[in-house]
Amino acid sequence: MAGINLLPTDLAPRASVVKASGVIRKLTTLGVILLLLSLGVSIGLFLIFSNQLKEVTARKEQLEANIKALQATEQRLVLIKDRLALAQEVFARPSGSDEVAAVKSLISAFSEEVSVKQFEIKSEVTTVSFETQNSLALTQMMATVASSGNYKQVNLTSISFTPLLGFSTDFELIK
Amino acid sequence: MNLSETSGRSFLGANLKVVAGPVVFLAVLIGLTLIVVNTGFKQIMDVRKKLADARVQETSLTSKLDTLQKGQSSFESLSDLSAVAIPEKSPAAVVTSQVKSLGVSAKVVVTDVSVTTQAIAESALQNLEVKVAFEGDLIKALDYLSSLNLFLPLSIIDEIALSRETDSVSAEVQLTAFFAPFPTSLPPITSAIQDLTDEEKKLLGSFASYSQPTFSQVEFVPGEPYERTDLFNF
Repeated sequence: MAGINLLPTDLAPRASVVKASGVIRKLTTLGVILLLLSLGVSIGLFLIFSNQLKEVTARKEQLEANIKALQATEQRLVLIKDRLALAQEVFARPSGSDEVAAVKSLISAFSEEVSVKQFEIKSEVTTVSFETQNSLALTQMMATVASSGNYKQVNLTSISFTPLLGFSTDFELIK
Repeated sequence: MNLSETSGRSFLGANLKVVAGPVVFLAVLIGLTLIVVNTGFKQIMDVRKKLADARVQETSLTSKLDTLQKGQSSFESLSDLSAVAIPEKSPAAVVTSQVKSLGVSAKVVVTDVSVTTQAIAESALQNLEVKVAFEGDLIKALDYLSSLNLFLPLSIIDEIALSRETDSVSAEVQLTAFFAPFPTSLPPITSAIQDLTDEEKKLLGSFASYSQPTFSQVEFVPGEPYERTDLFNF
C-alpha cells in the first residue's frame, strides 16, 4: 500500500538535495572504510618497523660489545694510522739522503787520479771540491760532473793549479 | 506574505536537516583523516628512518668488527714497529745508540754525538736535532752517510760537511729525528674504521727493512679497562 504524505509538497526537501545527501552519505561510508583500512595498515607497518628496529638495535648492541672486547686491537690500529700519517709528514720534508747518493755515484764514476778534497750538503745544494794531478783526468772529471744528470744546475765556482797539488776545482751542484 | 516567509523557512530547514548530518560526518572524517595522516605517517616515517640509520650502523659495525678480528694478530707487531719509527717520547738515547752502532757497522769512528730537542708549535711532530762527527775512509764514510737515513726512529739528513785529512776523511752530519705523543682518544665506537691500505702496508714493510734499534724506549701496552676518552695516556 502506497504511503500517503499529507504534508504540503513545498515543505518536503528538494529531490536534488536528497540525492546529494545520499551521495555524501555514501562518500562518508567509503571514507570511513578507507580510513579504518589505512589505519590498520599504518599500525601494522609501524609495528613491523618497530619490531625490526628492535632486532637491529639488539644486533648492534651485540656488535658494540664484541668491538669493545677488541678495544686493545682498535687502539693498536689507531696508533698505527697515527704514526703512519706522521711518517708521511717526515718523508715529505727535504732530506740530504738523495744528495749523498748522487755524490756517491759521482765519485764512483771518477778515475783513481781524482780525489775528493771536501764536500758540503745543505738543503738541495752540494758544494764539492776535487783534486787531480793531470789535465786529462781533470777533463774527464769535469765531463762526468756535467753529464751526471743528477743535478739541475752545475756551477764551476773555481779552478786553480799549483805544481805541488795539481788541479783543484770547486763545484756548486744544485738539485 | 507571512505565510510565504514561514513556508520558505520550513523548506530551507527540511533541506538542511537532510544534508547537515552527512556533511558533519564527512567533516569529522576529513578531520580524522588529517590527524591520522599527520601523526601516523610521521610516526611511520620516523621509525623507518631510525631503522635505516640502525641498519647503516650495523653494517659499519660489522665491517669494523671484521677488520679488528682479521687484524688482531698483525696489528700487535705493526703497532710496535710504527711506535719505534716515531716514538712517543724523545728518542735521544736510541738515536745516539743507532748512529754509534751504524758507525761500527760501517767501520768509521764516531767521535761525537750531541742531541738537542726542538719544539715545533704547528705540528704534533717534535724535532730532535742530532749532530754526529766521525772519521774514516772516504768510501766507508759515504756508506755510513747513506745508512744514516735508513734506521729507526725515522730521521732525515739536514746538513753534511766532509773534508779530507791526510789518509782519511772527517765529517759532521746534522740529522733530525722525530717523536710525537700517542693519540689520546679513540673514535666513537659506532664510527667506521678503515683497515690498513696497501700504501700503508707498503710503508710499514719499508720500516721493517730499516735498521732496528737494539733497545727501545717505546713500550706500548694497551690493556683494560680504559675509558674510551683517554686510552693512550698511561
